[in-house]
Amino acid sequence: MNDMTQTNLQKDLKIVGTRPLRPDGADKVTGRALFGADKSLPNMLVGRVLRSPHAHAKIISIDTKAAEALPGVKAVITSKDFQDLPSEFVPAGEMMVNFKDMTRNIMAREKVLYEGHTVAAVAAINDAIAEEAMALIKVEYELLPHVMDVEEAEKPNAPLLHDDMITIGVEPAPKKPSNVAKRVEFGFGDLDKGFKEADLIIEKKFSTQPVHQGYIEPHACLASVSEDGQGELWVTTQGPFVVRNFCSKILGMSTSQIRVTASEIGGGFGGKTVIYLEPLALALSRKACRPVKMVMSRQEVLMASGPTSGAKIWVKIGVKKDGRITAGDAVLKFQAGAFQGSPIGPGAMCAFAPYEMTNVRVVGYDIVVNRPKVAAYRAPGGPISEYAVESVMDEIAQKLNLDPLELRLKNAAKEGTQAPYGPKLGPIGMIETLEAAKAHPHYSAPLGPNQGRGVASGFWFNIGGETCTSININEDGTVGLTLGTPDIGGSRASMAMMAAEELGVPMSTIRPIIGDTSSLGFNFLTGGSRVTFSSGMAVVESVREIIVELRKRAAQLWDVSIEKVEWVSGHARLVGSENPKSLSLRELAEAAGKTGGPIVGGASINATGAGPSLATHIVDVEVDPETGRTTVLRYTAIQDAGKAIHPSYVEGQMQGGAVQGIGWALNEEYVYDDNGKLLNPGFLDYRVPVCSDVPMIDTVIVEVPNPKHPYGVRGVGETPIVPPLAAVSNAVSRATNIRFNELPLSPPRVLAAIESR
Amino acid sequence: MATLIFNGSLTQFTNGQTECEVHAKNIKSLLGEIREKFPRLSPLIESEGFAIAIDGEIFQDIWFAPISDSSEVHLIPPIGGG
Amino acid sequence: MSKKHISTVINGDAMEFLASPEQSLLDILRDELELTGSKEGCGTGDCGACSIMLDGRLVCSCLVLGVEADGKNIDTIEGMGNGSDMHPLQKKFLEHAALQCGICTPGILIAAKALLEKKPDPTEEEVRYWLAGNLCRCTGYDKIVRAVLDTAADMRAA
Ligand code: FES
Ligand code: FES
Repeated sequence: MNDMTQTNLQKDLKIVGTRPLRPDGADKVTGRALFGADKSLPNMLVGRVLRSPHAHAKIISIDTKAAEALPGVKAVITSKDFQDLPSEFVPAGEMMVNFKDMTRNIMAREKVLYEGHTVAAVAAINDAIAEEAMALIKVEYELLPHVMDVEEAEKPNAPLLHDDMITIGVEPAPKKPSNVAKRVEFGFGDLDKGFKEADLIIEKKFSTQPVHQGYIEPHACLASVSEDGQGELWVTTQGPFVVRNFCSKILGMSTSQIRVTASEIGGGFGGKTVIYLEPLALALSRKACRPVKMVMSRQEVLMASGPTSGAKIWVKIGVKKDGRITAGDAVLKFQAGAFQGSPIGPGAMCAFAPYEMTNVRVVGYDIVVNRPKVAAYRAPGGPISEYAVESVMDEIAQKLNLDPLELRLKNAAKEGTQAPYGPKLGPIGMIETLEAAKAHPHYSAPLGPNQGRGVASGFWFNIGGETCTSININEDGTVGLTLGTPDIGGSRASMAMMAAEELGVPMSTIRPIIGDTSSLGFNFLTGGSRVTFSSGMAVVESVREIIVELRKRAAQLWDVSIEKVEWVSGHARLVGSENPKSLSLRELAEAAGKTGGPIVGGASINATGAGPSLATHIVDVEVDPETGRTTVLRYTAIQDAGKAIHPSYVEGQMQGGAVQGIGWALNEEYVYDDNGKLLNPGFLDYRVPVCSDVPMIDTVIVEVPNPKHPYGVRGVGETPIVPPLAAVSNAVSRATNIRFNELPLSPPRVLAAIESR
Repeated sequence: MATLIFNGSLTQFTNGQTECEVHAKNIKSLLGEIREKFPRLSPLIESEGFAIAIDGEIFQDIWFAPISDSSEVHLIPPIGGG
Repeated sequence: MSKKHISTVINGDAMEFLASPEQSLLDILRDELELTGSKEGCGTGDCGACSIMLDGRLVCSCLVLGVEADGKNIDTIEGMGNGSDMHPLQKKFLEHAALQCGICTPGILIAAKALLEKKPDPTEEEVRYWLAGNLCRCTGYDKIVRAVLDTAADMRAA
């Protein structure tokens, strides 16, 4: 447990809240920063993956002899090179992981379950030979019928992906296997009574498409297993410790045998919290006794790495004439991909979370289909369920002739509100973001013809978790700070800022680095908006510990008790003395050898007390009635950050999330043919927003401090992708006077609706 | 004694009971108490794991978080993130 | 297939390499010459992470063959500026926090520099259309566009 009761919420802050340059910036603008694919080792091989051309098939046999015989090929692996693992849920960081599924996802065993599923991997002296070798691997398949859609997959006669899958969460447990992995339900109150009290009830079905995280850097790693079986892995990941633990389990190696170093990471958004190439590269390296580098192509990224779930959603909301919600009911069906584990739990918990509900129910289903296994994507589950609820809220506002922000204000959750998933909420900023939206000039700006304005709010929990850091005072008084959470968007800056603030020294004297897995204890991954919160807490705690040590050293030098020494602005000071004595950090550091040895510290916590972050977004669009094309004209994102340590990077999170959400709302979707083959595995046709698609993204940071963090931090990365789906859809609906309930709102879909109006 | 509240589908495993009093003073003993009182919840605890909200604050896998006599405790699914 | 001997000038230095006929210039830069500042986001000309200047023309190096570079002048991010002597765009990108993960940054800097050389006074719209071939998934482009416009204003004033 961490006691962070000594907070700095009220204190005058010198560094926290300013906008210094990031410590890793110069390397990144000069091309020196090393990402996943940027490192090489002597005598290195190239690893490539042979993938299934089928959406669903039994593997009858794999013959690798010809490939192995090809000169230049050094190793070929298939599922035979991996031990099978039983179906059991094992805690991995904060997740429960079923390694039976994981080992089958990284290398198919009995069956291939989606196009792109790995069936073999090759290490060769160069790419051309690896390519040739893959063509020589003979795989005999027996094709099976496939299923891509959740509503098809849950039918009793649907093709079964796993013939032992019994739905979890249903009592009594079903006797027969199905594609429904899990059912969840949340809620309280009396729905019938609530809907009876309503003056207006709106009930609607929605659908969203799976979308990819779209990080620009494909998955990449460089593995080297030494002759004595010690593994080294350089990899682009959000969680080096998690990768280490997953790989050691899958490869049957001990944890200490694998050292993982996180490269600079070229975007993740949740997609780099799992493993794909890593165990393959290690296995190939172990077999070939040489380093192996593996890099996915963009096509492989889109075909075989995690999108988030596509979904079918049903929502029913009842309200009084004045807009007060009397009841809310929803059913969510999420695609899990080929293995169970969609974000159905959090998705269902979030659905009505921005509101104070008295009668509420959300039922969710996790359903397997012949698509790549989903991975986390920013606020996993939240954007999908909240899109549907926020769309219905907008329709209610229109029908009741109420301002959509007023409608939300009337129902807004606040401190003490019982969340639909049970517990009472602590202080949250829903009302504050709504008020800020109302007051923003954007909200009252005039609109032209074919234009519409949409608003929507969003909720995300944020998380804490296992975290540790270490800190060294160097001999010249500068500070080394080692962190275990990869820096994906400026966290080295915010950590150095908090350390500098606490220690009372300039930020430039702090050097934050990301440690490898042998330099620190376990750290849960960078994700869930937890880094500034949890690593920040650990940093603050380690600095406070170091300050105690520094005071002790000064007390020794002055021959007084430690209570007589205070720490002020980077100096030890003798309390209440006439002739004020003081020692700088540098002076204490220089004397360290004589006063007891190096001054080092660290903290190890399992951070709790993360505070939900709420957001409200406003967007103006113009819809071309001739083509159905939607242009985003103006966008304002308002969010409660708790406290913005480095406001520029908080704004950046808000802007980036908003634009990802715009892509989800307007363009991004996978197109599969009848055989379950992906037709658009490239950035040309899987269209993420480009610079000319979007306007400036205006931001307003609201700060309702999280009382559980020393600086009030909530975490900001997840929430900004929640509101845009509904905000954009509401804007398009208002611009066209047609209520839309399917994403993406691509020009053909919008045009068809306009034409049949 | 603290109050443990079951939300939504969990009541299927508690014979419809929506709340009960618990003696546990921390999460570890709470999980033991739940297994004992509601054995049908056990498999869920093993497979999915739960986060525990104590007076609104969510604890994931933190056994020794204290539960006071006046606490309101909820079982919720673990939360990850992107 | 046999490799061809290629002579180029890269960031002002004469450099030679052997290229097989199908090897892209990006692969040559990254794998043979260890100039890993140019990134591969797609390999199909859609993301711009591999942007370089070839004889003064902005190109996606993943779409150029190594053998095509023979006798040509190549400028990559490694030649744009260094820590003690940064190009104004590099400085402005840092000041404006116009990068989060930074994987798109080398390509965007090269493209933005090419724009400012051609058009020292671009409008926001011109910047957006010029950079439309450079994907960034982290920033939502806002701070990138601001950094480019701000650099342009500063360079004009200088
Ligand atoms: S790698 Fe060349 S454009 Fe994407
Ligand atoms: S900063 Fe990450 S892709 Fe642009």
